[in-house]
Amino acid sequence: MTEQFDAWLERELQRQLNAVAPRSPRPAQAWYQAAMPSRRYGMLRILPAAAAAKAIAAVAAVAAAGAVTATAVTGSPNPQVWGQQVKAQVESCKDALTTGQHGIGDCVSDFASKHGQTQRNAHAQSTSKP
Amino acid sequence: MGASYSEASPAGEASYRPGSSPDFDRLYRASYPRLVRTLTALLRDGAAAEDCVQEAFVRAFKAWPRYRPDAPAEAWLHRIALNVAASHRRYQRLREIGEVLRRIGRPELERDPATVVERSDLLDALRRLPPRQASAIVLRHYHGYTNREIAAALGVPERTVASRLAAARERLLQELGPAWNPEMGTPPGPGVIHSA
Repeated sequence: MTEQFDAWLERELQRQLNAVAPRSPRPAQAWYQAAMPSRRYGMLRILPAAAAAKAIAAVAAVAAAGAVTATAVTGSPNPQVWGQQVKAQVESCKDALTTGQHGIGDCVSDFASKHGQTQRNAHAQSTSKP
Repeated sequence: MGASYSEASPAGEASYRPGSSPDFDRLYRASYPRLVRTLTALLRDGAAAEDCVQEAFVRAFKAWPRYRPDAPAEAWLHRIALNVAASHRRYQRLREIGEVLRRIGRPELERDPATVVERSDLLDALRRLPPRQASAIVLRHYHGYTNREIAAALGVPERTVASRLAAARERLLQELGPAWNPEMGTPPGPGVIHSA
Protein backbone atom coordinates (compact mmCIF):
# COMPACT_ATOMS: atom_id res chain seq x y z
CA MET A 1 0.00 0.00 0.00
CA THR A 2 2.73 2.48 1.03
CA GLU A 3 4.87 1.63 -1.99
CA GLN A 4 1.87 1.91 -4.26
CA PHE A 5 1.00 5.31 -2.80
CA ASP A 6 4.60 6.53 -3.09
CA ALA A 7 4.71 5.49 -6.74
CA TRP A 8 1.42 7.26 -7.44
CA LEU A 9 2.64 10.35 -5.56
CA GLU A 10 5.82 10.50 -7.63
CA ARG A 11 3.93 10.05 -10.89
CA GLU A 12 1.37 12.74 -10.04
CA LEU A 13 3.93 15.26 -8.80
CA GLN A 14 6.01 14.75 -11.94
CA ARG A 15 2.95 15.17 -14.15
CA GLN A 16 1.55 18.24 -12.42
CA LEU A 17 4.74 20.12 -11.54
CA ASN A 18 6.52 19.46 -14.83
CA ALA A 19 3.66 21.33 -16.46
CA VAL A 20 4.76 24.46 -14.57
CA ALA A 21 6.82 26.55 -17.01
CA PRO A 22 8.83 29.32 -15.31
CA ARG A 23 9.00 32.56 -17.30
CA SER A 24 12.72 32.68 -17.99
CA PRO A 25 15.77 31.44 -16.17
CA ARG A 26 18.29 33.74 -17.96
CA PRO A 27 20.88 35.00 -15.45
CA ALA A 28 20.89 38.45 -17.09
CA GLN A 29 17.30 38.95 -15.95
CA ALA A 30 17.84 37.65 -12.42
CA TRP A 31 17.39 40.02 -9.52
CA TYR A 32 20.76 39.09 -8.05
CA GLN A 33 22.45 40.78 -11.02
CA ALA A 34 21.37 44.10 -9.57
CA ALA A 35 23.00 43.23 -6.27
CA MET A 36 26.24 42.28 -8.02
CA PRO A 37 29.06 44.82 -8.08
CA SER A 38 30.51 45.26 -11.57
CA ARG A 39 32.45 42.23 -12.75
CA ARG A 40 35.07 44.26 -14.58
CA TYR A 41 37.46 44.23 -11.61
CA GLY A 42 37.57 40.42 -11.88
CA MET A 43 39.46 40.80 -15.19
CA LEU A 44 42.60 41.65 -13.22
CA ARG A 45 42.93 38.02 -12.12
CA ILE A 46 43.45 36.76 -15.68
CA LEU A 47 45.86 39.48 -16.84
CA PRO A 48 49.59 38.66 -17.12
CA ALA A 49 51.77 40.26 -14.46
CA ALA A 50 53.39 42.68 -16.92
CA ALA A 51 50.05 44.18 -17.81
CA ALA A 52 48.86 44.35 -14.23
CA ALA A 53 50.40 47.74 -13.40
CA LYS A 54 48.83 49.41 -16.45
CA ALA A 55 45.56 47.65 -15.77
CA ILE A 56 45.52 48.78 -12.15
CA ALA A 57 45.99 52.40 -13.24
CA ALA A 58 43.24 52.04 -15.86
CA VAL A 59 40.88 50.32 -13.42
CA ALA A 60 41.51 53.03 -10.85
CA ALA A 61 40.36 55.61 -13.40
CA VAL A 62 37.37 53.45 -14.35
CA ALA A 63 36.48 52.90 -10.70
CA ALA A 64 36.68 56.61 -9.95
CA ALA A 65 34.38 57.48 -12.85
CA GLY A 66 32.07 54.54 -12.12
CA ALA A 67 31.86 55.41 -8.47
CA VAL A 68 30.86 58.97 -9.29
CA THR A 69 27.99 57.71 -11.47
CA ALA A 70 26.95 55.00 -9.01
CA THR A 71 27.05 57.54 -6.23
CA ALA A 72 24.84 59.80 -8.28
CA VAL A 73 22.35 56.97 -8.79
CA THR A 74 22.38 55.30 -5.39
CA GLY A 75 23.66 58.06 -3.19
CA SER A 76 26.60 55.91 -2.09
CA PRO A 77 29.79 54.59 -3.70
CA ASN A 78 29.57 51.39 -1.67
CA PRO A 79 28.44 48.34 -3.76
CA GLN A 80 26.74 46.93 -0.65
CA VAL A 81 24.39 49.87 -0.80
CA TRP A 82 23.25 48.70 -4.24
CA GLY A 83 22.30 45.39 -2.65
CA GLN A 84 20.36 47.22 0.03
CA GLN A 85 18.64 49.21 -2.70
CA VAL A 86 17.51 46.00 -4.37
CA LYS A 87 16.07 44.84 -1.07
CA ALA A 88 14.29 48.15 -0.63
CA GLN A 89 13.05 47.96 -4.23
CA VAL A 90 11.60 44.46 -3.63
CA GLU A 91 9.74 45.79 -0.59
CA SER A 92 8.46 48.84 -2.46
CA CYS A 93 7.31 46.65 -5.41
CA LYS A 94 5.45 44.41 -2.93
CA ASP A 95 3.78 47.41 -1.35
CA ALA A 96 2.83 48.73 -4.79
CA LEU A 97 0.91 45.52 -5.62
CA THR A 98 -2.77 46.20 -5.90
CA THR A 99 -5.42 43.82 -4.64
CA GLY A 100 -5.65 40.67 -6.75
CA GLN A 101 -2.36 41.47 -8.51
CA HIS A 102 0.43 38.89 -8.24
CA GLY A 103 4.15 38.92 -8.92
CA ILE A 104 6.70 41.69 -8.62
CA GLY A 105 9.08 40.28 -11.26
CA ASP A 106 8.51 43.01 -13.83
CA CYS A 107 8.80 45.80 -11.27
CA VAL A 108 12.14 44.53 -9.91
CA SER A 109 13.47 43.56 -13.36
CA ASP A 110 12.84 47.11 -14.52
CA PHE A 111 14.91 48.44 -11.62
CA ALA A 112 17.67 45.89 -12.34
CA SER A 113 17.78 46.79 -16.05
CA LYS A 114 18.07 50.51 -15.25
CA HIS A 115 20.88 49.79 -12.82
CA GLY A 116 22.66 47.63 -15.45
CA GLN A 117 22.29 50.36 -18.06
CA THR A 118 23.73 52.93 -15.66
CA GLN A 119 26.69 50.66 -15.02
CA ARG A 120 27.29 50.16 -18.74
CA ASN A 121 27.04 53.89 -19.43
CA ALA A 122 29.48 54.64 -16.64
CA HIS A 123 31.87 52.04 -18.01
CA ALA A 124 31.60 53.36 -21.58
CA GLN A 125 32.09 56.94 -20.37
CA SER A 126 35.19 56.12 -18.35
CA THR A 127 36.87 53.93 -20.98
CA SER A 128 36.36 56.53 -23.73
CA LYS A 129 38.65 58.93 -21.83
CA PRO A 130 42.35 58.94 -22.93
CA MET B 1 37.49 29.27 -1.11
CA GLY B 2 37.25 25.57 -0.32
CA ALA B 3 37.14 22.45 -2.44
CA SER B 4 34.18 22.23 -4.71
CA TYR B 5 31.45 19.67 -4.14
CA SER B 6 30.83 17.23 -6.97
CA GLU B 7 27.13 16.70 -7.13
CA ALA B 8 25.35 13.54 -8.08
CA SER B 9 22.03 15.14 -7.30
CA PRO B 10 18.96 14.97 -9.50
CA ALA B 11 20.10 18.28 -11.02
CA GLY B 12 22.94 16.36 -12.69
CA GLU B 13 26.68 16.29 -12.36
CA ALA B 14 28.09 19.69 -11.51
CA SER B 15 30.67 21.30 -9.29
CA TYR B 16 30.55 24.85 -8.04
CA ARG B 17 33.27 27.04 -6.56
CA PRO B 18 31.97 29.24 -3.75
CA GLY B 19 32.34 32.92 -4.61
CA SER B 20 32.66 32.33 -8.36
CA SER B 21 30.16 34.47 -10.28
CA PRO B 22 30.17 32.32 -13.46
CA ASP B 23 29.53 29.25 -11.29
CA PHE B 24 26.67 31.04 -9.56
CA ASP B 25 25.16 31.86 -12.98
CA ARG B 26 25.48 28.17 -13.90
CA LEU B 27 23.86 27.14 -10.63
CA TYR B 28 21.05 29.62 -11.30
CA ARG B 29 20.41 28.18 -14.77
CA ALA B 30 20.45 24.59 -13.47
CA SER B 31 18.33 25.13 -10.36
CA TYR B 32 15.91 27.93 -11.14
CA PRO B 33 13.12 25.89 -12.78
CA ARG B 34 13.37 23.15 -10.15
CA LEU B 35 13.13 25.64 -7.28
CA VAL B 36 10.17 27.37 -8.93
CA ARG B 37 8.36 24.03 -9.18
CA THR B 38 9.05 23.23 -5.52
CA LEU B 39 7.63 26.57 -4.38
CA THR B 40 4.73 26.35 -6.81
CA ALA B 41 3.72 23.10 -5.11
CA LEU B 42 3.84 24.80 -1.72
CA LEU B 43 2.34 28.20 -2.61
CA ARG B 44 -0.04 27.24 -5.46
CA ASP B 45 0.79 30.53 -7.16
CA GLY B 46 3.28 30.52 -10.02
CA ALA B 47 4.09 34.24 -9.94
CA ALA B 48 4.62 34.26 -6.17
CA ALA B 49 6.83 31.17 -6.49
CA GLU B 50 9.01 32.90 -9.09
CA ASP B 51 9.29 36.05 -6.96
CA CYS B 52 10.30 33.99 -3.92
CA VAL B 53 12.90 32.08 -5.95
CA GLN B 54 14.34 35.33 -7.31
CA GLU B 55 14.56 36.72 -3.78
CA ALA B 56 16.17 33.47 -2.63
CA PHE B 57 18.85 33.85 -5.31
CA VAL B 58 19.55 37.42 -4.14
CA ARG B 59 20.10 36.08 -0.59
CA ALA B 60 22.12 33.13 -1.88
CA PHE B 61 24.32 35.40 -3.99
CA LYS B 62 25.18 37.51 -0.96
CA ALA B 63 26.10 34.36 0.97
CA TRP B 64 27.82 32.66 -2.00
CA PRO B 65 31.43 33.47 -0.94
CA ARG B 66 30.67 31.82 2.43
CA TYR B 67 28.90 28.76 0.96
CA ARG B 68 30.49 25.56 2.28
CA PRO B 69 30.45 22.92 -0.45
CA ASP B 70 29.82 19.99 1.90
CA ALA B 71 26.30 19.44 0.57
CA PRO B 72 24.70 19.78 -2.87
CA ALA B 73 24.43 23.44 -3.83
CA GLU B 74 20.83 22.92 -4.87
CA ALA B 75 19.94 21.57 -1.42
CA TRP B 76 21.48 24.72 0.07
CA LEU B 77 19.40 26.84 -2.33
CA HIS B 78 16.28 24.90 -1.42
CA ARG B 79 16.84 25.73 2.23
CA ILE B 80 17.03 29.45 1.44
CA ALA B 81 14.06 29.32 -0.93
CA LEU B 82 11.90 27.44 1.58
CA ASN B 83 12.66 30.09 4.20
CA VAL B 84 11.66 32.83 1.75
CA ALA B 85 8.46 30.93 0.93
CA ALA B 86 7.64 30.55 4.63
CA SER B 87 8.05 34.33 5.11
CA HIS B 88 5.90 34.90 2.02
CA ARG B 89 3.13 32.68 3.42
CA ARG B 90 3.16 34.56 6.72
CA TYR B 91 3.13 37.92 4.88
CA GLN B 92 0.36 36.66 2.59
CA ARG B 93 -1.76 35.56 5.55
CA LEU B 94 -1.45 39.00 7.12
CA ARG B 95 -2.38 40.60 3.79
CA GLU B 96 -5.37 38.30 3.46
CA ILE B 97 -6.60 39.13 6.96
CA GLY B 98 -6.24 42.85 6.23
CA GLU B 99 -7.98 42.36 2.90
CA VAL B 100 -10.90 40.51 4.49
CA LEU B 101 -11.32 43.32 6.99
CA ARG B 102 -11.21 45.95 4.23
CA ARG B 103 -13.51 44.05 1.88
CA ILE B 104 -16.29 43.10 4.27
CA GLY B 105 -19.54 43.57 2.39
CA ARG B 106 -17.89 44.09 -1.02
CA PRO B 107 -17.82 41.53 -3.88
CA GLU B 108 -14.67 39.41 -4.10
CA LEU B 109 -12.12 40.32 -6.80
CA GLU B 110 -11.21 37.59 -9.28
CA ARG B 111 -7.59 36.38 -9.30
CA ASP B 112 -5.57 36.51 -12.49
CA PRO B 113 -6.04 32.98 -13.93
CA ALA B 114 -2.58 33.06 -15.53
CA THR B 115 -0.91 33.11 -12.14
CA VAL B 116 -2.94 30.38 -10.50
CA VAL B 117 -1.81 26.81 -10.93
CA GLU B 118 -4.32 24.27 -12.26
CA ARG B 119 -6.60 22.99 -9.53
CA SER B 120 -5.53 19.65 -8.16
CA ASP B 121 -6.65 17.59 -5.16
CA LEU B 122 -3.08 16.49 -4.55
CA LEU B 123 -1.61 20.02 -4.60
CA ASP B 124 -4.49 21.28 -2.46
CA ALA B 125 -3.83 18.53 0.09
CA LEU B 126 -0.10 19.28 -0.07
CA ARG B 127 -0.73 22.92 0.69
CA ARG B 128 -2.80 22.03 3.73
CA LEU B 129 0.13 20.10 5.22
CA PRO B 130 2.46 21.87 7.64
CA PRO B 131 5.09 23.53 5.37
CA ARG B 132 7.93 21.39 6.75
CA GLN B 133 6.11 18.18 5.90
CA ALA B 134 5.09 19.45 2.46
CA SER B 135 8.69 20.47 1.70
CA ALA B 136 9.94 17.01 2.63
CA ILE B 137 7.36 15.36 0.36
CA VAL B 138 8.27 17.54 -2.65
CA LEU B 139 12.01 17.11 -2.17
CA ARG B 140 11.66 13.33 -1.78
CA HIS B 141 8.96 12.44 -4.26
CA TYR B 142 9.38 15.12 -6.91
CA HIS B 143 13.10 15.89 -6.86
CA GLY B 144 14.15 12.40 -5.79
CA TYR B 145 16.44 13.64 -2.99
CA THR B 146 17.67 11.10 -0.47
CA ASN B 147 16.75 11.61 3.20
CA ARG B 148 20.33 12.72 3.76
CA GLU B 149 20.07 15.42 1.10
CA ILE B 150 16.72 16.56 2.49
CA ALA B 151 18.30 16.74 5.94
CA ALA B 152 21.01 18.99 4.47
CA ALA B 153 18.44 21.13 2.68
CA LEU B 154 16.22 21.60 5.70
CA GLY B 155 18.98 21.69 8.32
CA VAL B 156 17.53 18.86 10.43
CA PRO B 157 18.69 15.34 11.37
CA GLU B 158 17.88 12.48 8.99
CA ARG B 159 15.56 10.82 11.49
CA THR B 160 13.49 14.01 11.61
CA VAL B 161 13.15 13.85 7.84
CA ALA B 162 11.98 10.23 8.06
CA SER B 163 9.35 11.06 10.68
CA ARG B 164 8.14 14.13 8.73
CA LEU B 165 7.79 12.02 5.59
CA ALA B 166 5.85 9.32 7.45
CA ALA B 167 3.51 11.88 9.05
CA ALA B 168 3.00 13.68 5.73
CA ARG B 169 2.25 10.43 3.90
CA GLU B 170 -0.26 9.44 6.57
CA ARG B 171 -2.03 12.78 6.38
CA LEU B 172 -2.10 12.83 2.57
CA LEU B 173 -3.66 9.36 2.56
CA GLN B 174 -6.37 10.59 4.94
CA GLU B 175 -7.00 13.79 2.98
CA LEU B 176 -7.14 12.14 -0.44
CA GLY B 177 -9.18 9.14 0.69
CA PRO B 178 -9.52 6.23 -1.72
CA ALA B 179 -9.62 8.61 -4.71
CA TRP B 180 -5.83 8.50 -5.12
CA ASN B 181 -5.94 4.91 -6.30
CA PRO B 182 -8.09 4.21 -9.39
CA GLU B 183 -7.82 0.47 -8.76
CA MET B 184 -9.64 0.90 -5.46
CA GLY B 185 -12.50 2.69 -7.21
CA THR B 186 -13.57 6.28 -6.78
CA PRO B 187 -16.53 7.22 -4.60
CA PRO B 188 -19.78 7.64 -6.57
CA GLY B 189 -20.47 11.19 -7.74
CA PRO B 190 -23.63 13.14 -6.91
CA GLY B 191 -26.78 12.12 -8.70
CA VAL B 192 -25.87 8.47 -9.09
CA ILE B 193 -28.69 6.17 -8.03
CA HIS B 194 -27.78 2.79 -6.65
CA SER B 195 -30.13 -0.14 -6.57
CA ALA B 196 -30.62 -1.78 -3.19
